[in-house]
Amino acid sequence: MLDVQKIRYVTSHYPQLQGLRLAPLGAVFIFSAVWRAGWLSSSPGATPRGAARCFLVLLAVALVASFPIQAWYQRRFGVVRLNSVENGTLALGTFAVMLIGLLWVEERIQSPVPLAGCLVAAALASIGAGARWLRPQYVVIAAACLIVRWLRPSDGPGGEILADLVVGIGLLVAGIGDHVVLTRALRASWRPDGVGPPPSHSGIHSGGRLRGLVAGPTRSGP
Amino acid sequence: MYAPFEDMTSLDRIVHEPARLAILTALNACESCDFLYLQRLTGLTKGNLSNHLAKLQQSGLVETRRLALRSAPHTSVSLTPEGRESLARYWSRLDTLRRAAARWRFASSDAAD
Repeated sequence: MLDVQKIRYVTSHYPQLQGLRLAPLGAVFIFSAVWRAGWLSSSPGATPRGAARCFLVLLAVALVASFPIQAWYQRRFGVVRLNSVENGTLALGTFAVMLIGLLWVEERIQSPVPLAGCLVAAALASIGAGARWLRPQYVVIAAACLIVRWLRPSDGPGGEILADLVVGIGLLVAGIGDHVVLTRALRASWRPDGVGPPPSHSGIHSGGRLRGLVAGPTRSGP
Repeated sequence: MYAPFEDMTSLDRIVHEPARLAILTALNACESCDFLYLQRLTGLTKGNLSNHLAKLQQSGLVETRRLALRSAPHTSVSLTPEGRESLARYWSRLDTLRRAAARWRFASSDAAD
């Protein structure tokens, strides 16, 4: 990917690339899988109702925990403000509506094809294949989702454990991958004391990331 | 014979400079961002980034605002409408130049044959 395109992509996807925000959510789903597998049967709230309540509480904690993690990203890498189209709210809303619609259809017509699963996989694959494979982990997760959903090893507890594991591991892999993309793109070549390597005449460090910024085929338009 | 290189001098030098082009590209992809983000993205020192932003501000391409975020001073930078136009014009001109250079190369190789 050209540097200009990378700059554009990283900036316009800055909130989504704050991958560690997904880690607590992933941990909750893995915890849920472990719970369902019966490894925590001696813990309090191991009854189905108690487990559901505990899962919801942990989910809420994970969602709340994403805010201090976001603040950490802002302290470390800065703040970017995007408009509602750029920050993906519209796309996420459209996806949610389509997902609910497909789940409803799936329930009504008993479709042999997992429509909702296909939609999730397609959305994840498009994230992975976009931006010239900057986030390839999403394609792997999409394939895993599709395989698990299609094969449906069992509709009983085994299937639920597997589904929780796929979601949990998927969230962790996606988050860590995004975090790596962001930290690589925003790796500072300066030191906090302001004594960086000697700048060139343009203020760019020799061997810096801006070398060859406009080299190669250019991209017209914004 | 037409040589596209003469047109290169007409490129906006304020935009063409790589560090400033990176800053403008980042600002074009968002509504606004802060000084720290631009510093991390470009890898420039604070002084150099300040200089580049001052030049862009003098040319009317960006505007900076000082805010207090969580009781800490915070500089927010955004692209002006003129800045967006200048960047679009720059890419369009560069694309035209690239095509002209490709045509010129083929024409000069045909002439050599």
